[in-house]
Amino acid sequence: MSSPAPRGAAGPSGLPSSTSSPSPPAARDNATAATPQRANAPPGQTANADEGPGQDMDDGEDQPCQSCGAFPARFQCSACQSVRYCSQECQASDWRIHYRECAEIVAALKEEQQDSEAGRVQSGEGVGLDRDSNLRASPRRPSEGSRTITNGPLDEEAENVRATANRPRRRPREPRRRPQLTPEQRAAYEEAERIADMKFYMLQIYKIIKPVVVCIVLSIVWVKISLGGSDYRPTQSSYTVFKETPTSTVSQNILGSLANAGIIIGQIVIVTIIIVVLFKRGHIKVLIGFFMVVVAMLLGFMGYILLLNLIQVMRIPLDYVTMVFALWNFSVVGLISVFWKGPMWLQQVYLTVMSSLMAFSLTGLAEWTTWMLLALLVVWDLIAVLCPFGPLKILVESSRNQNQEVPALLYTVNAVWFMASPPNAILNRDANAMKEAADSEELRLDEDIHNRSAFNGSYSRAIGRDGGASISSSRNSDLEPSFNMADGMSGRSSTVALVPGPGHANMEDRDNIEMRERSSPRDRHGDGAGGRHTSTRQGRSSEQGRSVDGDTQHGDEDDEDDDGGGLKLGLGDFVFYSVLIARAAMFDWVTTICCTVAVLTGMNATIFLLAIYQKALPALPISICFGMLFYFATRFALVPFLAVLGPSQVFI
Amino acid sequence: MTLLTFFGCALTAYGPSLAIFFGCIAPNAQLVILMVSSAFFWLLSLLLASAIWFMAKSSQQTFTSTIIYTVLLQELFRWFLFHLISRAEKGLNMVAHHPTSKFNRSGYAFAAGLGFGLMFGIISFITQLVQSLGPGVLMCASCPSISLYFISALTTSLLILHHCAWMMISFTGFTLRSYARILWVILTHYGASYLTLLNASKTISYGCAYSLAANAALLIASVIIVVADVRNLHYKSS
Amino acid sequence: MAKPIEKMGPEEILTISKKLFYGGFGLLPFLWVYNVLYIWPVRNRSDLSPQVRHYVLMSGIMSTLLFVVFSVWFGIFVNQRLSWGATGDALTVVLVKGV
Repeated sequence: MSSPAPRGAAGPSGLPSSTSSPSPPAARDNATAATPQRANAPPGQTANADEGPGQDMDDGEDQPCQSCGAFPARFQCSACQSVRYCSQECQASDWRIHYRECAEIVAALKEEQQDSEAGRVQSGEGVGLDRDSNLRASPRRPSEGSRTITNGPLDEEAENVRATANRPRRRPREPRRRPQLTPEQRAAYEEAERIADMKFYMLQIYKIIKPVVVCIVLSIVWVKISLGGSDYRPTQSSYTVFKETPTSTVSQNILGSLANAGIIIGQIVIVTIIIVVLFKRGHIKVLIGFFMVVVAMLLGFMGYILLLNLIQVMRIPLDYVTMVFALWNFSVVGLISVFWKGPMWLQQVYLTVMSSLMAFSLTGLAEWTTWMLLALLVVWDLIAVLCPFGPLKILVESSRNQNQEVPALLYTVNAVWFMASPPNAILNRDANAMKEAADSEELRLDEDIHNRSAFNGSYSRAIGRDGGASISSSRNSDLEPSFNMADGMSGRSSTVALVPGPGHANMEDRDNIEMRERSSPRDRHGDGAGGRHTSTRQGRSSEQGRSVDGDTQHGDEDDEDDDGGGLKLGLGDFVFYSVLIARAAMFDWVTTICCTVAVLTGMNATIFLLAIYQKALPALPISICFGMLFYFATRFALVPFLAVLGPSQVFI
Repeated sequence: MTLLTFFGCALTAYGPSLAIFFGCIAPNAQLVILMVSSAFFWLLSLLLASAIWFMAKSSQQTFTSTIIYTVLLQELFRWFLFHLISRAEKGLNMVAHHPTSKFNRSGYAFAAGLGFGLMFGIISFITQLVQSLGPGVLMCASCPSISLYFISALTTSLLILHHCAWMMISFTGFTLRSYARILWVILTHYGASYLTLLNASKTISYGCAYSLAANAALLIASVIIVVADVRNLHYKSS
Repeated sequence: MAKPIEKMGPEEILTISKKLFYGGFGLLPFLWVYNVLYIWPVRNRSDLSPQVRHYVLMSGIMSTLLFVVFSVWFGIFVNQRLSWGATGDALTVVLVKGV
């Protein structure tokens, strides 16, 4: 959110843009020119579709700022004229997400408006495109003028901030005539937005399916291998009080497994609380150290267990020297790539493998306990999402208050600026309703700025990013591999959070799909103090200036942005999907396949629901419920059914 | 020999459909999602069928009656899926590469059909496929010289392709309210299923050959209908 | 997570490759491989200092060397393990069971 702090004082009218016509963030193009993500679009096209200077929009009341969701959003991307921003910062920060979509919208609009009065209205756009190229050629062009709409002291302050922070390049340019939008064009814009919206979610699902499938397949492979006659399967851990035996009755099983699952859930809760406390006290280093130990244990110890299984089942003669050497390398490189720097794909591989290892270690739990655990987790996640005083919520709040990211293990899809677009369609559909929601949100903000949490089912879009620029799922990845064949998983939260870039990491919500604003770092920064706000803006603008110069030093802001743009999925999701399916894999192949399809469909459904309702939804429950339902239905009806059909070679 | 059998059967059964999947479906985000959802629908239909089978204890071994409701349920879910897709079609079209193309619906039908088919193939053949890794071999009852696994693999392969064709025909049928096409789909589905009963027949020798040949013929007929429909669409649109 | 290497400045890349190269001496040839893989996409960047190339090249060579050493050792072990008797058994992680 770009303007929470000003708005908090300025009242529900929000922060009107103080300057008109944000200059085109052409720098983004230069900055991203080297990234592989741009491979999809020819460079020329992207350059052409560069976002022109925004245009002042007086009727920008019905559409929130693309970047931060604030009202009114008076600036419009002049190239595609379909997205609006409240300020040029917002446009600049959104550009890396918007540029691709911008190109497509422009193309689509040109198609659709060939015979309408496109010429007249789009003339500005055409000029804008040309100007953009000019501008790139001479980015230091002096400003042509500026117009200020000042609505309050805070806006003035913002203007001052901007004045101090601005580099020449970012000076506002002469305001342009605002386009006369006909209803048809409006419809076309909305259509284009809807298209972009749909595409965004489609691609997010598509991008998320692959790693999840890989993780699931890996877990299945581990389970199948270890079932092939290994003496080293993960076993029930010692702290489960009840041991399932074939002779125990159903009621015994239920009660005992409930107790076991309760113990594990209790551990999860306790570790979560410890993490919250540590975080509130500001012991970030401790947390990171904790995560590093967890990851090291997971890679080293579970890797060892898995290796034992593998070499026994595959009958590999392996000596200790080689094994220790390989494990040492594997774990250290994993640690480095996850916690330090590394190629994105390697991080993805490691995170996926880690999740599958964790899931494998959890297959040591007895069957009833596993189901109970999954069921309890679903319940607990729902509670954690809905309960206003859940520890995770406190964690998120404190992370915002402290401007600190909660360290977390996140799977980052390599889609940093990939086709992200805001789901504006819904807003357009019932703009009034959303406006009310936004107002209420604002009121809420005023009342309690800290309570602004995206995942309590409110219109996170209104308060938060409306872009869904990134699906990110952060996870309270306090995996705690227990040391006796490790079934201890404590307090992991899985999330598919539509978290905007930088904001992703301060979300430690469990099993949430949520949307937050892309620019939430600013949200964080701007939460309390104007000064911080200033510095952020300065950072941003200076970053842009540097990009123009081709300087490769990017500010921290930039760094944050880069990270957050992509799709991030918490390892908790990976782990629990895989646990369910690994458990199914221990029964039969048919159950495995059915559960996989069910889980994937649940995940898709969750993301689609998110796209439809635009509000926080827990991610794990749908998938896990589908999976469990399918498991039992398959196990008790389908498998016997197929067992009869199969040998008779009857195909139905 | 076991690994050879395994890979031979796996590639026979799933090779064509996987080639289609990786060649045509996988690069396309919305088709992948469509496929997963249609696989889910097929699974739902089969779970319902198995629930019915589970409750109908007396007829558990009579396949003729089992096939009746199983195929009926599948066709019912195909119809549901059609309604779902036509509701979502606007959105799907928007996301498509060519939003105004007349062939989008055919593409969706094909992806959905492949979802049905692949799910069908996996569910009905995977158990046998895994068994084929084992040391023993089972022979087909009607053709004792060929292993059961290979006959099943061939049938699976044919039926997966069948599902693609059926889905496309029935989508055209539902769209144009052409009852002949819907009837064709239902009849050929029943026909294909009942033909597989020949596989295990002990009275008809070379039953599996008849079954496979007839199924292939049905598939060719269905494909001809599909091609004709698509050509019609093409001429209509141009 | 770190930002992609394409966006890093030449100094940063140099530091990374240097650290990874020296880190590799802690019996971590994977780190050398990692170095090569990491720097590979930007190997032809003009603003890169020649030292980076040097480090990457050395990493590649060293990791290859170490891998050759270990494969030779592994080959010797697999072939000679039975003749070493108790020592060989002690070295083996999981004794291979008969079928």
